[in-house]
Amino acid sequence: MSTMSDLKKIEVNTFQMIFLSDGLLDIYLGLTLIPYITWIYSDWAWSGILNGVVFVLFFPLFLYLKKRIVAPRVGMIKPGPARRRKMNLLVLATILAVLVTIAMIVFTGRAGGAASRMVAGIPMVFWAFSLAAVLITSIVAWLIDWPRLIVYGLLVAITIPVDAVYFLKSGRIPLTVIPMLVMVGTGIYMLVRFLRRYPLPQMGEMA
Amino acid sequence: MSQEVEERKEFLPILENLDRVIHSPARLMILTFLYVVEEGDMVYLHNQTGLTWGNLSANVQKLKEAGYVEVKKSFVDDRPQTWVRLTDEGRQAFRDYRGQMKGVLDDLPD
Repeated sequence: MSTMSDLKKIEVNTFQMIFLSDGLLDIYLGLTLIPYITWIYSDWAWSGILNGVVFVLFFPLFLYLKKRIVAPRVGMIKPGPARRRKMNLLVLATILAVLVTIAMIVFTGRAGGAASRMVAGIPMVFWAFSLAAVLITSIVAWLIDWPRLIVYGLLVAITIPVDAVYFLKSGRIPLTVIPMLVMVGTGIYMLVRFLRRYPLPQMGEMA
Repeated sequence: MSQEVEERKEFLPILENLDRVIHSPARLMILTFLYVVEEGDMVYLHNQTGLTWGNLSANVQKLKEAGYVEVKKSFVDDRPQTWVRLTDEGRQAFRDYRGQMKGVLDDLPD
């Protein structure tokens, strides 16, 4: 009677199938690294604006594709109370992550302060960013039952200090391109698999 | 009467009183997948249960007649959309059924 005893597992599987199995979130997260990569790559002053453009352009596109590609294939759900509590915590975690990031940017701006102190030859602020990447992705991964996000977080965390030493404003492509490609590549693979696994139901067959 | 027969007799009332509306694989699957969410549409139920549209629709109708689910129909972008949710009564019936089955299966002699 696995269907009777594994209700929690069924809930997690349902959530993952509806919200994470299509790979769109992987692709979106990978693309959000582009502004950071351009900032590491050069002195290009438009990185900040690009950040906004990526959010304004890609987030609605992400939602649109979810509605057009995912919902007609696997259906839609409204999560139960336990999942909604986790989602509320996710909103809190996201707000906290934004506040921490802003604090770090302010912290970095103070020349000669603790941020410019070197640890193992790397400015401390990059270690802080690295640690934040691991912590935030781990918390979010736990909240939304998405273990793959921990791997993405680790990859980003490893490349941040390396980029800071070897690639910062060097005009060479930084290592953060690797996690970006991993995320986008994984997302595309999952999207193709999703489209094959869940064909669009014909109008005539639907109830 | 042997002890084994006595034990078997204890289970009989539980098995006889099992909710027949729920005690069908198709409806049990539908209720299970509705139990873990607030509500879901028919595409979701079709994917999760693997039932044909006709079978799914017929069993949802039976659950609706029993008062275990509520059905809302609408059109989104010219496509029909049918939302199904467990009523409080349906949720309680599923919990009761789950408890009864667990009790019977857990206490069965090896």
